[in-house]
Amino acid sequence: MVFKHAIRKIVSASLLAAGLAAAVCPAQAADKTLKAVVNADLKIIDPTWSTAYVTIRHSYLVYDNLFALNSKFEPKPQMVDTYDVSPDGLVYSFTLRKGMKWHDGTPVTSADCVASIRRWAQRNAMGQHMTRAMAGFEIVDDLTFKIKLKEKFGLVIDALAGAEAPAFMMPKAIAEQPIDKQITDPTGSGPFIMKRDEWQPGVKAVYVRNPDYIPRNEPPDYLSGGKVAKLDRVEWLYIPDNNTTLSALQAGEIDYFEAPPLDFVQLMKNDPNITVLTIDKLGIQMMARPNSLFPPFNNYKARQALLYLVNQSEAMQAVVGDPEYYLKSCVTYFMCGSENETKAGVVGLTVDIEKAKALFKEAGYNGEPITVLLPTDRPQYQAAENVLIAAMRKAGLNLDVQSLDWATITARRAKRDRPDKGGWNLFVTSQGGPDPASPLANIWFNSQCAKANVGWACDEELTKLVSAWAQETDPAKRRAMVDEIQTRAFVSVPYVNLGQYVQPIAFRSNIKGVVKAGVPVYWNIEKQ
Amino acid sequence: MLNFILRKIGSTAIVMMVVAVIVFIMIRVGPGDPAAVIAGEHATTEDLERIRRSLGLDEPMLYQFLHWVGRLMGGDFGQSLFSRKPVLELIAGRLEPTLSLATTTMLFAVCTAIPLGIIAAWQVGRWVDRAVMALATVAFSFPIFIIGYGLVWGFALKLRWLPVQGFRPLSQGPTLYLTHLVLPSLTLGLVFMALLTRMTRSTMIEVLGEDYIRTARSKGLSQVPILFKHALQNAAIPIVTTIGSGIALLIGGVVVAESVFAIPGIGRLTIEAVTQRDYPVIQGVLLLASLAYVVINLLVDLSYGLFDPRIRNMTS
Repeated sequence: MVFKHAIRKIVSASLLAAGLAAAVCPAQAADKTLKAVVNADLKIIDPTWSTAYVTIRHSYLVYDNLFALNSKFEPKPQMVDTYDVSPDGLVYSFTLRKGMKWHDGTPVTSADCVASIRRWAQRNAMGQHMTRAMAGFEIVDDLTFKIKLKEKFGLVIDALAGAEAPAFMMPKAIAEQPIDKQITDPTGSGPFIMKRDEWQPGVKAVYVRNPDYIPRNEPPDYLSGGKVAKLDRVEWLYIPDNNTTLSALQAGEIDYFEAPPLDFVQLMKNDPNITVLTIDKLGIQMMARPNSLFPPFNNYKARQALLYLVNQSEAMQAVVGDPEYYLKSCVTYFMCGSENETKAGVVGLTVDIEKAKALFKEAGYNGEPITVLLPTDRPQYQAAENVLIAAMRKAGLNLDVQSLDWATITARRAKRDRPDKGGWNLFVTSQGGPDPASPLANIWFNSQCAKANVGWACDEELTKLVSAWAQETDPAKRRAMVDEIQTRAFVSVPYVNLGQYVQPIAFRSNIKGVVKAGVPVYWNIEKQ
Repeated sequence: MLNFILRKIGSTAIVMMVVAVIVFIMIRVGPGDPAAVIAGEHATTEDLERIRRSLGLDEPMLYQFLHWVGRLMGGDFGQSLFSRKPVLELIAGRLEPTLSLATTTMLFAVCTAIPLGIIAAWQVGRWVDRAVMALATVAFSFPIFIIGYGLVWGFALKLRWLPVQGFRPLSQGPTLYLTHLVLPSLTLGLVFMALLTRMTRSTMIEVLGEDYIRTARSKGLSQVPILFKHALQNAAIPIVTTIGSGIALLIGGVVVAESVFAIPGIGRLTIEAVTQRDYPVIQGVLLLASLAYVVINLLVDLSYGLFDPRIRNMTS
């Protein structure tokens, strides 16, 4: 009797366990849904409204571009079928590929693209430069339009291609909404369609394959080539805790971890079910941004002094740890590995405390407090900044280090107030991808004083050099001008390069076809 | 009784008004700017000013307050500054996970703590009592996130019995729903179970020493009716009060548990709104959370009458 009772209990428990396991374990049938955890929660879907990385990632799913960069960072036609430039370099004619449709089934036309370029150019730095050189647009027919320039601008195609903020094409009615009104309709013509009804900010965003998308015939190459959507559905899950995300990846509950902390990498490499891959050949440039409005950094000598307090190898060791993922030294302003990488004009970027002290003295620094904003919730920025702070203290600087969360820093750094009245002197940030490789697209390099980004770098000579570079249409001459630009930059020092590193992604080993596109993209990916 | 309820509702309205003013002022005088978060890493000063203007954040604070209160009177809690979705819709979308987690946590805690507390009181000074108290001390001492990660490691990664994270609504089936709630409820419930066990034990020890319990024993009544009919009913008021206060404790714990287990509930909505300075969402969540807290207290007050006829007579 007792034995029978025990048997009954064991059978019941087994059935219950089997039921639980069936409920918990993912279905074994080949499903074409990719569950990805991205670097942040998608809250804004308008790429002209926000420059947040997650918004740009979303845009690559739902929108397409006229041009896209290949792995040599050359712009290649994407939505454009053919294009030509007039002999005087002032008229660019574009013909779109036939058969392209918006997600609502209506055809993509020249008028849509012109409206999209207009919207993008109001916000994008390259677009604004292009607009200043433009005479206007001409819509020739449904598939052909022209950009007419009043003065030479050699970067029209490069600007449209971009990388971190290209000109995403959207229907005319959406693109023509006022720029200060956030668009809420994600209709594009890209390889995936956003399921707006399933989008729950803070929880998930869902995309399904666009059955009408016609990919180019070329194989995928960086951001260019055929964007073949092989997945039926992409689910972006927002998991704020990295430990939980790692556990979910190990357990097979998610397929793709877009930005794992670098200290997880070794653990993931040891797991045969997880692949760690670097998709970005350039990576991320970390930098210290001085405020050019107030002493001591309103004097270029003080900014030059910072160059003698930087040990890139030490900073990157603190930020990354594993030498596989950072460069021991990268002295250029324009991203090591890019066509604009140069050593021209380099000074400093090695620690020389005495030299730094002498330059601070020449700048008239006399022990006044220097307000440094230290982010408490950005471990990588914090690590690099702590290395710099240690060197600054060795140089005898009187630092007022203010530990704040990043949201507070982003608000505070926009203030033009004196540092003792709520302003600041220095903070650390980063930028990534091919854009920083361009003197024009690198927004922290912009030295147009009041029109420059926060920190308000100010150097008329450097600005003139960059404008001349942008007007030049001969790539060889333009490359030669980069040396001159960088030499000048090491005099005025708009920011200090703290080093360059790459951020790998991680995914389950049954995921194939991940494109090394610099930014995470979801075309060509298969789940086996 | 009706008077009592009306008085409570009146005081609730006053509490809500005070909360509204404090919440509105505190989040605006604090550092940070939603426009800076919206604009992203590479925004210019002009971008920030444009976004501030379009969101009405450049208006005087008094104007913003009156505008918000005016809309609130019409039941409109405003829109998220980020997703432009109505605040009430965002909160409604997060209610099921949080209510599910809170309910299963309370059920687990109450169903284990009260029997354990009674047994410990009954066996006071013996090894059973010591074991229960040791368990309660350990459960109370561990931070929630350590318990959470430990349970995930054991039950999700090693044994593969339960999922690591996430929430499945009841509409997807009771098995999925419950399996996703087991680990978070255990994590969150252990601390509360420990607190309630100790409270039940100490209250029961006190009641078991009363004269009427001695009388019941001398009449030859067995242990079960003594413990559950005579002692527990008289010990109920402090236990119910602890359960009520425990819900306030839960509000704090839910934030951690929802983060560790990626449960898209109210706690995570609050954290996200605070880190991004999404003012309308913070205001909406805090206002409704304080309303919920006041209502729970009201229910706890009313429940006293169920256990003690003297209170029932006083309120009626």
